[in-house]
Amino acid sequence: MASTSTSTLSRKLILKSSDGEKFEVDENVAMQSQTIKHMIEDLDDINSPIPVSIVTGTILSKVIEYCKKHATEDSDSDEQLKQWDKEYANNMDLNTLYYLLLAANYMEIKGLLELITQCVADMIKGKSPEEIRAHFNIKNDFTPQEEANIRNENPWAFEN
Amino acid sequence: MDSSQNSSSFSSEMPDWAIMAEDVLLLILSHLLLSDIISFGCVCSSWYSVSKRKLKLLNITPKMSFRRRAPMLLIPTDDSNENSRNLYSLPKGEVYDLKLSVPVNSRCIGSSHGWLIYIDSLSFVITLYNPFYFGFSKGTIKLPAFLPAGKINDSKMAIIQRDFYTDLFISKAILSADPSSCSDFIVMAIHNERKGLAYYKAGEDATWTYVHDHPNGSPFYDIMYYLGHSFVALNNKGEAYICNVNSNSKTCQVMTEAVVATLAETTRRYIVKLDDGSTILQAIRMVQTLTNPDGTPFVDTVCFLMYQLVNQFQWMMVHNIGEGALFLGDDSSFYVKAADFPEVTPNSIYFTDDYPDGSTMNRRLYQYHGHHDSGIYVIWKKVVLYNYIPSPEPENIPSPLPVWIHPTI
Repeated sequence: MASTSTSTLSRKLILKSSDGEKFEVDENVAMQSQTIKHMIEDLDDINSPIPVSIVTGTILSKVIEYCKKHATEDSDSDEQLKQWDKEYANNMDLNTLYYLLLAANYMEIKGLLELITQCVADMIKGKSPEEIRAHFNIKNDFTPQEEANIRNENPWAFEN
Repeated sequence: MDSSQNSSSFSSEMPDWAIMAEDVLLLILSHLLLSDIISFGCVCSSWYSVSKRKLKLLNITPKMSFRRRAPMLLIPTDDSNENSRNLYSLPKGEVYDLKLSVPVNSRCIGSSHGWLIYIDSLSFVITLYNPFYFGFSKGTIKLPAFLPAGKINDSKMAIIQRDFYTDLFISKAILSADPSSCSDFIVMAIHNERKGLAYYKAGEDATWTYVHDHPNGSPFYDIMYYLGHSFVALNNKGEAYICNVNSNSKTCQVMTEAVVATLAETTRRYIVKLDDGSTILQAIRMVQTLTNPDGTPFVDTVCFLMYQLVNQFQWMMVHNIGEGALFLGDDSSFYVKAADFPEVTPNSIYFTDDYPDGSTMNRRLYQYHGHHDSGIYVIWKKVVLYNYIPSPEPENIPSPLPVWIHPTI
């Protein structure tokens, strides 16, 4: 079990990405990830790098950027933080969003997951199935029969 | 652009959104309205199965028809999203977390044949909107501009007091038939500060026809579609007038005597026809004004007085409406046969907040204290059962009134 620290100074942890990149972060930054929180509890040696096995260094650095911003208390108003979140998400391209989603899901960072799923949902809103396919580069893998069946399931959605 | 993602080892190939983790896709769906969830499910087979799971969580089964259901209430969603509504079903107390989309910045002035009638708070454009059509075109019908609206729209006051003005222009509107199945439906509205009548015949007229005020007329409170292209309107004295729109008539004729309400305060009168198509009922809502602990007033419904039209002219008080139930509120008044819907209590009145007595202060009480004058009035017991509608969260914020809707698709 982890030893109880009475120090007011935040301890440092080392996170190691899937491609071997190491990041030194304050404990309170890393603890926003429920997954890492649980890992630390089971960790004997706090100084050994904590593997974040499915997240690459590129993505991990963005995750840490988010966690750092959200770990510092009282520095920003809610409004400022929301604005920061918005710009943070808007600066990501679609591929990065994809891997950020996987990382936030794996690392169990609720706020980040909420932010990115909202961002992706906004891309879907108001679009037709064809437009969604084009946006996310998804192939239509329905047979004509299947497609007809789906239309039949939700007749109210397809009347024209 | 971020060029660094190419160096990422597990983004060495294009990510495949089709196989994104199901948990994550479900989270994305939680931000979407029902119409978008349906579109999402049509993208590919794996997204389809995720959308099916989501719809199952929402209690929506394939081929679900809302038509066989008793009238439901459109209520604000928990997230206070201005353009989304959930459905609340009686009396199981079930909330369908559908996040149906409704127009923004618009006031609902009617709910008729499964369609909602909205007036835009700034442009005064009137739109028919069916929240159950999940395509954007078919579910929206724009009506011709309402002429007097243009004048006030020029006024800066319109922006300051837009609720007041939209209410002044049209306090209520109804449809003669379901526009989904009938292209020559008629819209009848109670409009202007004198609460007169105006109608629009779809597929026939290019503009609204404004009915002249009757010489002895009083403000109208409610309207209903009757037989053979005629509408019946009820004024604040309980007199019914008939207006035949067949020949583009601009007049209406007195049809019944008045009903003087003597008890307590009267707020609202409603007129409905029963399922036989000819029996007409008048319901008078009796209220009292009470005071909250903080001194603010609120209105409380005490009872309903019921009158049936007999001998084509007289109103006779009745204490029984048989196997039927009335659904009354700000936007609608209609009758359903309880036998068609096992969840509906026969011989009762389901009501929601409604105070259009001309005073804007009273009119908007609900906006300051949430809606709470809703209940079921059991006619034979003469008692009001309260609080069947979930309170908006958080309370005390401006919140749209719940609206009755009887889906037809």
